[in-house]
Amino acid sequence: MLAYAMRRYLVQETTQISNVLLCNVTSRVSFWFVVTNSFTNMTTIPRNDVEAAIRMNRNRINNAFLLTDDTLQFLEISSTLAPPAEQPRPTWLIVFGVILGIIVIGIVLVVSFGIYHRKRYKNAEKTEDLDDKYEAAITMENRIPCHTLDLKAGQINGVYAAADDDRFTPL
Amino acid sequence: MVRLVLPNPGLEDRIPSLGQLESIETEEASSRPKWDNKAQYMLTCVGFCVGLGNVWRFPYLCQSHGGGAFMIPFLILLVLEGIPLLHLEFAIGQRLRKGSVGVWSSIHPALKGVGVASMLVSFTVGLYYNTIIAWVTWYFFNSFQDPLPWSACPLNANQTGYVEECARSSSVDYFWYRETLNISTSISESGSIQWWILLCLTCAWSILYVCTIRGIETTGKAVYITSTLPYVVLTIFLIRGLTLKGATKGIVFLFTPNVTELANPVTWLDAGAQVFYSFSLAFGGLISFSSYNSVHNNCEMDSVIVSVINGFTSVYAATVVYSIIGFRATERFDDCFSTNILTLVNGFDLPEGNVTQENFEEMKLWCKDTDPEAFAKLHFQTCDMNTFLSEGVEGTGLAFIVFTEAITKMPASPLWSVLFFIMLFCLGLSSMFGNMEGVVVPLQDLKIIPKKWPKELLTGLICLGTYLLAFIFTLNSGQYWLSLLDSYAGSIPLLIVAFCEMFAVVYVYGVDRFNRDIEFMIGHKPNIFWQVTWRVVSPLLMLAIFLFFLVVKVNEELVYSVWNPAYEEFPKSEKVKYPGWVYAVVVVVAGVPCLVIPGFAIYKLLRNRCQKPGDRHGLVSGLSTASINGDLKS
Repeated sequence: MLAYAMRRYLVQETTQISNVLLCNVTSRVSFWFVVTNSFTNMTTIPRNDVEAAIRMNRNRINNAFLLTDDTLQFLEISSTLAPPAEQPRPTWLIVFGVILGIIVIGIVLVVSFGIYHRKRYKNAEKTEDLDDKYEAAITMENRIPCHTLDLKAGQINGVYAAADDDRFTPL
Repeated sequence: MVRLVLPNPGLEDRIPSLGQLESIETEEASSRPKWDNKAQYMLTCVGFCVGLGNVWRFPYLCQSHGGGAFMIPFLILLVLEGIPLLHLEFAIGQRLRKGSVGVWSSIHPALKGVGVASMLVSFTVGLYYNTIIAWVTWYFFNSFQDPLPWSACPLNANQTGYVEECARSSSVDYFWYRETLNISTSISESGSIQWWILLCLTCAWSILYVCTIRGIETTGKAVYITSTLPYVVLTIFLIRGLTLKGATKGIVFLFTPNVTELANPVTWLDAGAQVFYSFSLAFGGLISFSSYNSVHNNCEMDSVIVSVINGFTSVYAATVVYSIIGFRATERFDDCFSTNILTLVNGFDLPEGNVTQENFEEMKLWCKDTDPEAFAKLHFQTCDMNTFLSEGVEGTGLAFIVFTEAITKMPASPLWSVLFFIMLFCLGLSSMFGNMEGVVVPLQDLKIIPKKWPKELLTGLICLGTYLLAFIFTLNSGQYWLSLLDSYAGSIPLLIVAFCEMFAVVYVYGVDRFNRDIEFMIGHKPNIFWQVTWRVVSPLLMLAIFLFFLVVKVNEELVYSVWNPAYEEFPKSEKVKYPGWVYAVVVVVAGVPCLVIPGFAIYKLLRNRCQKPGDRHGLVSGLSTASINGDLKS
């Protein structure tokens, strides 16, 4: 696996499994390894190259073992983390826009309802005032409206009506 | 019984007599707003009293002052301090039928300053309170995505790891301090306006404007939702919370009584302060709301009901909050334990599954015996459940850090997040209604505003003005300014105003007259409990709390907590001293409302001295009309 990785990276076809030297193998499957240069069997390929190779082929290595970055760890090679799900546009602005739109409509409605209500109230008041004035234009004599005095029948003065004939001196 | 009443000439002229009260109600019907029904009034008062403090201050106090034992001082002080003051404000508003400035200047012109002080405090508190609501709306807008944005840290430039600040603290901390507030490292570094917070602030103020546009006509409709929705959401959270693992641990931790705390005076004083601030007394809003009631409304029953609901909500919210905190603490504990298990397993190459939470200790000892050298190299974290349960759980820290973290661990997190922030929004908004009432009505009473101006315009101007001032909280240092105002603007002035209110009603207005008024309004004289508390107990309690606060605040160094990534003990907050000019700000913010009270009194007394008693009245102009045909009815 590692040999394959080195091959891919160095574009050299010559790295073989035998170039990968293992040491400190433990029963919990952890080990140290070095990769030797396939041309000269003694020198080792520098660490940076090995790291870069592994980084490039990490997915492949993981898949081969059916493991993930969490379960197969290369010490000191930090894995490239998958970026968190980035929304293409900020969702919060959409929600904000919707709510602000509703509020603006609400303000317009409430204010215009208030103005309409006030206009109606003023109109109602105006007609009430006119009625009052109309009533007041009725002429009065001694606080008695004149038109009640215009009774066709006339008012009978009770003094004379209740009079007995005896009280008045006969002619 | 104290029978002291200060001389108060001319009181009869300034207030409507009892006989006039009945007719006033019918006259006022067109000009003065009134409640559509009793439910609106109760919901508005409950909404005003029940606010963010019930959710994020009370649970913290409860847990840190002996759990279940804290209920004892809380309930005692609720009865001795909260209910009498509430009844007093309701009754005086209903009797004198004016807002706070009108009421106090009717009682005595020199007391106008009390009303003005209430107005100033309402204004300052409204200024920063709505910014908290703006933060809530920011989180609310960001809750409509899965996964939630604060559930994972963003990646650094070459995508090999997380952003350093986030990796060292946590994703929720990072989202709050960096992506929301973009906080600077000190209050002096103002930075620039954060446009996203500004948008949210606009949204918050617009919603407030829509709801308070015509005073209680519109708020009366809005409270049907804003006062009831929090209870619905709390119940949903309670049911959900109780099904989560570890919830019961949290509730047990909250209510475990520690009776020794009762001997600590700080416990009693914190309980008293919590009762006082929780009831939104001395803001003037309650007096205003009560003045729109009908004359024979039973204010005694109202005050008892509102107090009971407020107390119950505090306890209920504490239960819900701590069930969620218990869940979060258990999750953290499990994570911590798993890390330890992994350390042991890795260090000793043990097979998976051999070490569990139950046998961890014995395995540890076994490993230690087998290979002490290797064991010494291993580094285990300390996992203490109690530490997790008592972590930073009050104020904005509770809502925006602890709770949001807990929500990310629950399945279907966007739903819970939306619900939670709607609840906080409603709680805050209904309290803001009271604040706005406490600012708008006194301005009208002070006759600064021409009467022709429609109410919509006045409310709009106040909202606009406060919104522009609130830009200061959108700066990088905004959160430091907010904490500053929170600590000083609301605390001392309110206590002084409340004390003056009690004193004014009991000794200047006269408690006998007050008793007669209440007898007229509700049909029976207030019983001995009210007499004792109004005259003696509650004023003494207010005085005690005020003195304690004064002593503590004056003695403590003005330090504040700062989020500084360069701090050695990051992610803990660094404690930094305030710069010198902050002292001036504190004096202005806390001192001006307090000084307005004696200021107005002195001003009125001087004006009375300067005017000679004779030339008080101007010439009375009389009309003489010749009437031949009678005079026009006008």
